[in-house]
Amino acid sequence: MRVYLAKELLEANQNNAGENRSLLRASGVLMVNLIGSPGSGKTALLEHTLKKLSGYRTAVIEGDLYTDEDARRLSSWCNQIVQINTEGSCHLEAGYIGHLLAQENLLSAELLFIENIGNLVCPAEFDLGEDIRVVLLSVTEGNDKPRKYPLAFKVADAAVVTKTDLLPYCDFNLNQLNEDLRKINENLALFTVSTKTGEGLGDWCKWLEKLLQRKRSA
Amino acid sequence: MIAGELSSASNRALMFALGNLVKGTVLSEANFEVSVREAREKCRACSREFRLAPPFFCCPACGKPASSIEEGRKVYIDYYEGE
Ligand SMILES: Nc1nc2c(ncn2[C@@H]2O[C@H](COP(=O)(O)OP(=O)(O)O)[C@@H](O)[C@H]2O)c(=O)[nH]1
Ligand SMILES: [Mg+2]
Ligand SMILES: [Zn+2]
Repeated sequence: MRVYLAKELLEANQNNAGENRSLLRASGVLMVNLIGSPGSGKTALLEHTLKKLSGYRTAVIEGDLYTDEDARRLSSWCNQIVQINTEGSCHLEAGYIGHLLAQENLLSAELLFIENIGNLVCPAEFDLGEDIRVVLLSVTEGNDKPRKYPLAFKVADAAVVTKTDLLPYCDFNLNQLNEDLRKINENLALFTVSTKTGEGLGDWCKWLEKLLQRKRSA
Repeated sequence: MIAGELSSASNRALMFALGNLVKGTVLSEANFEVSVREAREKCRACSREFRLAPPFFCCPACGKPASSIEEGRKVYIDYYEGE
């Protein structure tokens, strides 16, 4: 006898993501999921973003395989920070984020950031229920990475090119990147920032504020 | 099982995992089959049917980006069969 199931493997994660989304909607929190390879500048971008947005109540879920170093780096700029150590697992899942939303006082924040595990592949597969998914690409990684890891850019709402102060030392072609990104995802918002010079951080933060306002008035 | 072509689920990894999971259980004799399914859609601009291929997932005829890649990302258990 043949029994048809047609059951999706990621269905459980999708359901959890949907629950997180309802919780966030009810409490008006804007959740931002940052993904990018190790060293792409996720923690540095968060540090400077939190500093600039210090007028808001902010919270961070900091994902790392081991250690709480990044959480400690951010603790002076943020009202609340929760460290997750996945002990080897390469991505975060919606169920665990939901557990934290229920246990910790995260829903009293206005802006909730998630620093995902450094990886351009798996985090793109797991919806966390976030409002916006942002993928980081540092100029030292090369402008061809969207061609090589297109899914991460396809499922993102914004891309942030980081470390633009290093552009003079890298053969990074911003025009080519722009052209490739338009083809992969025509709705992708693009930012270029440097945490060393502060370039571009203003535009990036203004965009976040605009999204927060829109969510609150929805 | 059906694995969408754009799912990042590797056929070989799935077979390896399933084969090891059932060792020493009542399912140890089970056969698993994983078929990879192409992701296709009808172009919103020129109506041509095309295969969504990385890196750009664009229509090869007119260059319009695919509307959604979600179908091609699905991995699911289609059916099981036994006595
Ligand atoms: N020159 C330069 N270095 C940066 C910039 N942002 C981050 N870095 C450096 O890149 C390294 C990795 O940054 P980090 O934020 O820890 O990356 P993460 O692993 O993605 O969290 C650190 O040594 C940072 O100082 C930048 O805008 N310019
Ligand atoms: Mg970090
Ligand atoms: Zn077309």
